[in-house]
Amino acid sequence: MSTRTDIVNRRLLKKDKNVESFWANVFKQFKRNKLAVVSTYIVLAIVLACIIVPMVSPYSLEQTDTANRAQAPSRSHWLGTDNIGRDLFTRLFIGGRISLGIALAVVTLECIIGIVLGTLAGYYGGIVDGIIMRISDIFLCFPFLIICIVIVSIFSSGPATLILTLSILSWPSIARIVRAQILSLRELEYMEACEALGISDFKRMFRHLLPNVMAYIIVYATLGIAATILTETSLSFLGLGIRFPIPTWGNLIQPARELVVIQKYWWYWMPSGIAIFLTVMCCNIIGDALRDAVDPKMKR
Amino acid sequence: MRKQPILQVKNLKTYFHTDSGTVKAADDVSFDVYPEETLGIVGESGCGKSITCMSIMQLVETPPGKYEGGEILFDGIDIMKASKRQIMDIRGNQISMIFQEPMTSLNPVFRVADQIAEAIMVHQNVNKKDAEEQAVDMLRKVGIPNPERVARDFPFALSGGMRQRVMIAMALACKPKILIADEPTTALDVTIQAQVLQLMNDLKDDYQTSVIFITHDLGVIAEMSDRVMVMYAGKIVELADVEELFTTPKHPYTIGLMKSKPDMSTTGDRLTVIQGNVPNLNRLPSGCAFHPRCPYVMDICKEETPDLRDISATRKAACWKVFQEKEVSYE
Amino acid sequence: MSDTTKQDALLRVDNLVKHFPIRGGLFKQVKAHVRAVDHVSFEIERGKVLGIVGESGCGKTTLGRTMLRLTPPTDGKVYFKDIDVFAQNKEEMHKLRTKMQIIFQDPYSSLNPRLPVSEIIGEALMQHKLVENKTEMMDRVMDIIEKCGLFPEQAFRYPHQFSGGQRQRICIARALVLNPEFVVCDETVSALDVSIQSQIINLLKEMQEELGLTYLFISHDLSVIRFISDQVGVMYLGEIVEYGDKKQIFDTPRHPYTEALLSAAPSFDFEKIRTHKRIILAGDIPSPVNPPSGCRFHTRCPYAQPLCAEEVPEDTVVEPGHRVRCHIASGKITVNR
Repeated sequence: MSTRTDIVNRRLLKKDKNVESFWANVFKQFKRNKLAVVSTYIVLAIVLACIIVPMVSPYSLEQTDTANRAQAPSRSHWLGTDNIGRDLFTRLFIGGRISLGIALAVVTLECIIGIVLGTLAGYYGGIVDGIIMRISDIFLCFPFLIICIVIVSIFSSGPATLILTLSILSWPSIARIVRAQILSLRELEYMEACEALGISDFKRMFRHLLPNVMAYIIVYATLGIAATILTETSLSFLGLGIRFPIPTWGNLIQPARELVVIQKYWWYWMPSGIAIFLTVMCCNIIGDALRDAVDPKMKR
Repeated sequence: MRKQPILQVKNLKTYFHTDSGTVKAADDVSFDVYPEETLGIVGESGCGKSITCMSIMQLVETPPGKYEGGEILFDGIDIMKASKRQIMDIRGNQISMIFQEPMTSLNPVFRVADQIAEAIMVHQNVNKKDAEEQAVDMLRKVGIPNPERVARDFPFALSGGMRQRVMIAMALACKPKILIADEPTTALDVTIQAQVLQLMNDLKDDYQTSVIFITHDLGVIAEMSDRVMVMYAGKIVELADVEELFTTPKHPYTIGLMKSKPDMSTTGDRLTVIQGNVPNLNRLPSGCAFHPRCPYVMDICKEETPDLRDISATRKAACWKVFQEKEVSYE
Repeated sequence: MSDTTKQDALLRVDNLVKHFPIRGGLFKQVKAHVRAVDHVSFEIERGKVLGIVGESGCGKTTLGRTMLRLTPPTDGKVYFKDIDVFAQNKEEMHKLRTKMQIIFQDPYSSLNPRLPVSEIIGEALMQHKLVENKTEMMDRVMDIIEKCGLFPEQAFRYPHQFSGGQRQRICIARALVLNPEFVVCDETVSALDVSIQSQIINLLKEMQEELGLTYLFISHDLSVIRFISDQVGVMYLGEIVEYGDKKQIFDTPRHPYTEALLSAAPSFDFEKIRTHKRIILAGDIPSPVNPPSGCRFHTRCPYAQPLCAEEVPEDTVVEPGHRVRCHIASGKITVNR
C-alpha cells in the first residue's frame, strides 16, 4: 500500500514527470513554434507598457504643452506632440489601454454569451437548438456598419456602448463553433460511455464537453482579439467608435486622413499604426500556433 | 528453379524524421517479386508494410519521409533514381496500387467511367470514346452487374464492395505487371471480402500480373499468397513459401502471431499471447527489436541485430535462435 | 422459444424492435425507417457469453445499445433479473446503470482526452457514491487497473500516453470498476492488432471467471466469437436468423447464411484450404431501410425458391436450444445440397 500512497503523493506534489496532461502537451507544442513565442513576448511587452507607461509618465492625458505644439520626437517628448501640444508617447499607451481593454472585454463578453447559448443548443438540440440558432441567424443578418452608426447616433459613443454593440453583434459565430463542436463530440463513444456509467447531465456538459471545446474557444478568442482591435480602430478612425478626447489606437491615427499629416507629421500616426500592426499580427500568429498545438492534425 | 525476378528491392531504407526522433519505417528491407506470383506481406500496424510498398511507388511524402538508401530495380530501372517522368510512366501503368478505403482514392465528383477512362488515356494512345468503351469492358470483367449503368454512376452511389471492384478495374485497366494491394479487403464484410478475393485471384491469372498483397489478416494472406513475408518494426523477420511458413513457422514472432490468432480449430480456455506491446518505432529496443517480447530471448539478441539470412532454399529469417538451430542441424 | 427458457436467465430480451426514422422533405416528416433491430428475442444465462455475429448494417451494435437503453427502443422488452429495463424511471435507471456496462470498439474515441485515467475510471464511483472520498476512490481505481494489467503509477497519466491495447484495458477497467453483472462488449477487440487482440480476449475471460460476469459479445470476427462464446446468435438485416450453442452453430449450421459466413471466413489452416469448397454469396447486403420481402436473405441465398420471397419464415427449433429462421429448416421447401 505504501507504494500507492507514494504514487498519489508524488502526483499531488507534481513530481511525477511521466504525467503529461493535454494542456502541458499543447504548451510543449506551442513552444516549438519560435515565431509564436516571440509574438507572445511582444504582446506581453505591449500590454505591460500600456499598464506602466501612463503611471510613470510625467505627462497626463490632457496636459497640453502649448509651447511645443506639433513637435517632432525629442528628448522631452519621445514621440513628439500633437497639434495642441499633448505628449503622444503617453497618449499612445493610454490609447493602447483602451483599445486592448475594449478588445478583451468584447471577446470575454461574446465568449460568455456564445459558450452558454452554443452549449445549450448543442447539448439539448431540438426546439432549444432551433430557437437559439434562428436568433443567431437574425444577428448575422444585421449589416454591421449601419447598426454601429444607428447605435452611435442614438446613444453616446462611449466605451461601454461600443463593447456592448460589438459583443452583441459577434456572439453568433462563437455560439456556432461551440454548437458544432458539441454536436460532434456528443457522438463520441466516451460520451456514450458517460451515459452508460450514469454520469449526470451537468458533469457531462461541464467536465466532458466544455473542456474539449475550450481549446477551440481559446484559439478563437485569440484571433477574436486581433479582429476586434481592427474593428474598433476602423470604427474610431471613421469617427463611429470612441471619440476625442479619449484616445484609442484608432482615433490616434485619425489625423492621417489628411494628406499633409501623412507627408509631414509622421509621428502623429505612425506609432499607433505600428502598435496596431504588431498587436494584430502577433495575436494572429499566436492564434494560428495555438490551433496547430491544440489540433496537430490541422497542421499542413 | 525460379524465373528472373520482375522487381528487386535491395536494402530499402525509408525513414521519417519527426520531432520526437527518427522513425525507421522501412529499415534495410530486401526482397524479390517474381512474375505471376503473389507475395503476401503481413504484420501489425506500424510494422512498415505499407511504407515499403509506398516506397516502391515513390508515394511517400517527403518530408517528413526520406529515402535514406537502397535500390528498387524494375525493368532495368532503379526507381529510387528514376526521373519524375519515368516514375509517372511506371506508376499506374506498369505498377498499380489499390488501397483499403476506395472512397478516398476515387474522386467523388467524377463518374466512374470517366475516372477509369482517364487512367487509360494517360498511359495509352486512345481517344476518349475508345477509353470509355474499355472502361465499361473493365467493369464487366470485375464482375459488376449492369456495367453500362454503373459506369455513369458517381462513386458515392456504390457500395463498399462495388467501389473496391471499380478500384481493381482502374488498377488493371493498363494491364500492369505488378499490382500492389494494400489491405484491399480490410474494410469489407466477410461475405463481400470472399467475393473480392476470388475476383482478384481470377483476374491475376487472366492478366498474368504479379501481386504484392498487404494485410494484417493471417487467414487472407494464407489463402491469397504464394510466398509470405512477415514484417516487424520496419524489418523483414521471416520470408518463406506460404505453406512452409504457416505449417512450420520459425521466427518466434511468426510463431506467436499464429498462435495468438484464434482460428476455427482453436480450443482451450486461453489464447497464447505475445507479451508486451508493439514497440514505438522511434524508441526501438536495442539488438533484435522483438527481444523484449520474445520467449526465447538470448544475450546476443539484446545486443546485435540479426540480419535476414537464407535458412533454406525457400526460407529466409532474421533470428539468432533460428541461426543457431540451423548451424546445429548442419553439423 | 419455450425450450430455451431457463430459470436462471440473467437477461431476457423479448421481441426487441428498434427502428430509426429517416426524415426528409420540407417539414422533416418521417419518410422511411431503418429497421436496425426487428423482433429479436433471446436469453442469456448468468455467467455465460452470448456472441452476436453479423456483417455491417445487421443491427448488432444497435442491439447492444438499445438493450442498455442508450437509445430508446421502438418496441419490446428487456428484463434484467426480472426488472423491466425500459419501464424504469430516471432515478431507477441511474441505479441500474451500475449493473449493466458497455465496452466500445474504438479505444481512441472512447476515452476523454482531457481527463487522467484515475478520473476516467473513478468518476462513476463518485457519481454513484460507491466510495466515501477521493482516497477510497483512488484505492478502488488502483485495484482495478492492476487487475486489468496496468501499473498503479500509470493512474495519473492521460489517455494519449497509452497504446491502443492499453487504452482498451482502461476502457475495461472503467466498465468493471462499478462491479457490473452484465457487460456488452461491442467489437471490443476489432480495432486491435492480432498480438494485442489475444491479450485483451484473455483479460476479458479472466475477468469473467473472477467476477462472474455475463457478456453480450458483439463481433464480426467468427473465430473470436467461436473462441469466447457459449451461445451464438447470427444476425442478418436486423433479425437473428440462427441461434444456438457454439457447437451447434459452428459444427452443424442450419441456416444458409451461417453456412456461407463460416465458409467465407479466411483461415490459415492448410488442411482446410486444400479441401475446402467455398460458398461465395452473390450480391451486396440489401439496405435495412427496404429489407427484401419474405425471407430477408432470399436475394442472396443459393437455395432460394419462389416461396422464400413471399412468406416470412418462422423460428424453427431444430434441436433443443437451436433455432433457425429458414423455410428449409421448417420443412416448407426442400433442396438438394
